[in-house]
Amino acid sequence: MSRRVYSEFPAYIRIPLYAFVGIALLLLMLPLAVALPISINADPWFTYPFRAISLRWFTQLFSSPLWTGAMVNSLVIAVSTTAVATILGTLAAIGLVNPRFPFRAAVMALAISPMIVPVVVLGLGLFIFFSPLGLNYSFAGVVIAHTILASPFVVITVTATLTRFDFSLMRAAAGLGAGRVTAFRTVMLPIIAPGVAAGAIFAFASSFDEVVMVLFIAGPQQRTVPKQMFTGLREQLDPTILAAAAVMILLTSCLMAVAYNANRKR
Amino acid sequence: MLPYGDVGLFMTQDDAPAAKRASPTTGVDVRSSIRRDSNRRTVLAALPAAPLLIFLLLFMVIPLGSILHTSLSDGEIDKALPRTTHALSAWDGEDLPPPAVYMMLGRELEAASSAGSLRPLGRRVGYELSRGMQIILDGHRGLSGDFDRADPQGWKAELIKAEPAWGQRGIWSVIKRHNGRYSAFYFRWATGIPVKIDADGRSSLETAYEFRSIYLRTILISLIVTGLTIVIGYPVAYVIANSSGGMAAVLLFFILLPFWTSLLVRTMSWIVFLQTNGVLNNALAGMGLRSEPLSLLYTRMATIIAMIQIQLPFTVLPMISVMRAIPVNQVKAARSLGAGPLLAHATIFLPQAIPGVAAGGLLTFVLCLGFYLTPALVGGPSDQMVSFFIARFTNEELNWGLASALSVVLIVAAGIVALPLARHVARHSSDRI
Repeated sequence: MSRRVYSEFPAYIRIPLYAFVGIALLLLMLPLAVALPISINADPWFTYPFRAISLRWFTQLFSSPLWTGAMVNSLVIAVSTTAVATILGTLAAIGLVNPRFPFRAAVMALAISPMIVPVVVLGLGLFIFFSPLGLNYSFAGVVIAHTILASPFVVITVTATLTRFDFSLMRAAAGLGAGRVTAFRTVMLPIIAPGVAAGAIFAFASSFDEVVMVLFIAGPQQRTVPKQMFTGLREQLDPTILAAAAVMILLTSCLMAVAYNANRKR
Repeated sequence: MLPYGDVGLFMTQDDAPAAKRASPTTGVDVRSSIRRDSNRRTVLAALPAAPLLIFLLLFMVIPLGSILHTSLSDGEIDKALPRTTHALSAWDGEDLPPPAVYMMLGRELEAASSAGSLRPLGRRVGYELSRGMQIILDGHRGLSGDFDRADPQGWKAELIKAEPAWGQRGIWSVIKRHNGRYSAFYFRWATGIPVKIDADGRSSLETAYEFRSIYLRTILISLIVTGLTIVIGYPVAYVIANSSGGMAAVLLFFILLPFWTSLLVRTMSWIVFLQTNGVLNNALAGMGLRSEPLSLLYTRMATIIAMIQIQLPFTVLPMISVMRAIPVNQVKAARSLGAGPLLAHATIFLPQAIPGVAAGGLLTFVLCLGFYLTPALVGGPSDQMVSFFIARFTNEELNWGLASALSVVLIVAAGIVALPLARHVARHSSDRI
């Protein structure tokens, strides 16, 4: 690589620049790096150094019916959201990479807009829309709300993968007698699978982390882990929340690592 | 936009020249057949996206439409008191309405009570009139006594006896004003126009929410956060864009890790870090720097710092993708022609990086305008932005009309800012992976 423009800068600029960037990136990580280890502090204080280390907050987390119920809810909602968002998003991406697609730029903007429209506004809209339909305070309602937020991740990821897909392979498959669905299943899908998987993981993570829609749409029956954390943060911060956060981080970073590797290989 | 031509999943079998399959006899036939074929291909191209589009139409576009509808709907008064509002259209608004109107109102209050629409009416009147709910309920309660129901004067006397406000202009002018199902009332309220009056009809001194200062605060906080993320993000993006393989990957990882960490967890970590008996205060006390803990949490400062940390990746990623496309040789050429390093950067590199800075900045600004979670948890009562009040009016005060009007204002403002952004986002949003 010969793109070392900053080496064009003399040392008196370069060193402060590096220092600034280094400090900025460290500060980005600092609160997390400091907060998460407190989950293994034996004492219920939010301070360093620890007098002893224990897993008591994790034990408490996994033995409390409130938290385990929330975990089950979160998983059910996130898995359903992932399934719906991945199917809808992948199909939409296949349509959207087609240059023949009418009003492609506008439709792409619409497909991505849930990332930009404030979540409280989407939440309020769904809440009003759902009330006559009886979908408020239901699992289906929460899954629909989360699918709206998660689908742009799938659309973006799969679109990015498809721009690198060689569409002449589809012609070849058709030339060999494959129908559209067969060609999609046996040629396109295996090739774009890493991108679809990455999109699915982002969709899962976005649903698993989501709290604002849950505040609007969900009832006590749909209490999720983020909702439980949000309530705790508003009322009484106790280290169990940190243990829950650590579990969430662990889960999402494992998934992200998978997604990252899938994307690098393609 | 894409590197390949007229190919796609649903075109595989349609690529044979259309004319061959069309009737060979007349040219007109061939042409219309080509057109039909082309239409068919367009439909086939759009087909896979249809499920998502229908889904978004149903659960995003229509709900946004119902927000607009809710913000303009204002039918509670006319629904409960249709004949009174009609009769009042002839009232001059100066003296009290004639006793016949009192009787009409009394009968309609009783009907509203048995139809269960008395409380909604009271709530709605209360938005516009101090103690409005009480005036409506007391008026209705006053009618339960024994009086001559055939005499309009009796109705008037009973109402005023139960609640003196019925003997003043305020309540009547509120009822008179709402003789339809739609009004701009919630928009006037949401744009900070004083809407509340007292029983005597004068503008009420009671001010509950100052929406104009809330909008100003929202814009101010968003501008500060955007400005600071650009100042911090620009050098970061520059270094990442110009690093080679491994180094760039590590630096990018540092940007992306918090980006993909739960928003809630990151906000929580700021609370743990900043709270009164939190990590920072204890560290300061431990070092002997501070005996009294600083109140850092629930301040404007905490809100801005946490928002910067959360928004920085959104600012940096578009910058990186633009900066990577800037030819290195141009800066080298400027240097070789005698420009100093900073001058070369400012005149050659910076102007070409501006689209990335603008895209990152706009994206950050738009996201900040609608930011709810972090300010709600980290900020104090005076740091809350529009989104907080939308959530509050929806979930706590159940004033959906006002929440909707605030949402429309927010969406329109964000839309105006975001419009130039839409294309750019579509192009660069894949960089975040």
